Amino acid sequence: MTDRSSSAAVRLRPDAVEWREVEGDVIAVDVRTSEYLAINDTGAVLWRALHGGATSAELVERLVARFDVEPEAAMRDVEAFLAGLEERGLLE
Amino acid sequence: MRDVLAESRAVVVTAHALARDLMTAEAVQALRRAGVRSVVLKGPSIARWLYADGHPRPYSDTDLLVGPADLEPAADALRSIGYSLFLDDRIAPGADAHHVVWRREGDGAVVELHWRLPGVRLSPEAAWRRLSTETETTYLAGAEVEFLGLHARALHLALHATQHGEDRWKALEDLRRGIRCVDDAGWRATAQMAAALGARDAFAAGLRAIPEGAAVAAALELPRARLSTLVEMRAAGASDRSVALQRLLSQQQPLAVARALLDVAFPPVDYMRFRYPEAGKGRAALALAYARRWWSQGRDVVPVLRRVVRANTEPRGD
Repeated sequence: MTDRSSSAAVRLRPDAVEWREVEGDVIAVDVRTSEYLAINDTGAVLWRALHGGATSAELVERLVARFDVEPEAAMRDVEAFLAGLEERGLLE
Repeated sequence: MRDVLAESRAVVVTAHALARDLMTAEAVQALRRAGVRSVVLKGPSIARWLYADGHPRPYSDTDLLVGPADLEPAADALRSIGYSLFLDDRIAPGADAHHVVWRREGDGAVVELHWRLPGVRLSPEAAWRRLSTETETTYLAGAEVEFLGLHARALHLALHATQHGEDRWKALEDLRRGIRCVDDAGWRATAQMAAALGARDAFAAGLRAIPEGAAVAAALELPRARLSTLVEMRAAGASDRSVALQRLLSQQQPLAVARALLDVAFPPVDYMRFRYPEAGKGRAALALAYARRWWSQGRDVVPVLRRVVRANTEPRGD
């Protein structure tokens, strides 16, 4: 299980997914299942950060700065996003 | 997240490109299992480098550079994953032979095995040794792959701008973006690489395909060459035959030009069967195909010659 405490950096598995940015969204393909994913602009902010690695706290900060949302709401969004990625086995 | 559907052309183009990446990764891994080293050209290496702004960069096949000595084991490796030979352009008369094209029937995947880069005059073996010493290793669709190093990629952008008719807009846009992305020192290093590969003329001609590139060529003090005429002809929509004749004349070796013209008039049987499928039906059909070819070429001789003469005698600026 990926450590998602706020101080542990998580990142996308580079061997599991291939992706591109297009028109503000992210289009990705899970290379193991050939399933396509489309990530909207909110998720794309997180996705880009996860490409290089980021802690949960850093992801929350990015959402707050980009969309001017409350930190608690941002934290819920980050946790849900990371849970989705982890379920698909896309995180290191 | 949501599952993607056809939401826009850009999304479709990008999804298509990602599908190609899966095929590229598969091909690279198959070659690697056979002991063949390959370098991914164009496609994903350019998309990642120059199109990070989200503008879609379409590509529909896999381009791999391999050492010339590895063409046979690479062919075996591709056959092992379902590919069959579509075209070896060494049999195509008048072609600037540089790749072997493989196709897979089930999914339409296409792999182009490049054994040289057009415009490079250094021997293919020596050029491979030079180009393969400066590559960048990365992940593509789950597989570890190699891209050309920065200066070789920049050089390839310019060389690619001298080729192609239909896909030329892509090559020119790539070059435009590359010029914005590579700094002066980078272009100087790229020019040195071009000189080392015997590709200086083609490099200069390719840069001059667009005004921004002409400025770079001037800053690098690159000479104008007859190849520049080739690029200008393509830009003006000259026919493939005119361009092919201009390329032949650019060789500047009378014997090579004469031999190439003979090949154009009398191409090998394998090529005739590829180019004119009915030629495979027997000797009479083959003879008819040759006659068709000569008739078509004969009709074109005067316009082609006129076009080439005009291209070489028209005054032009720099």
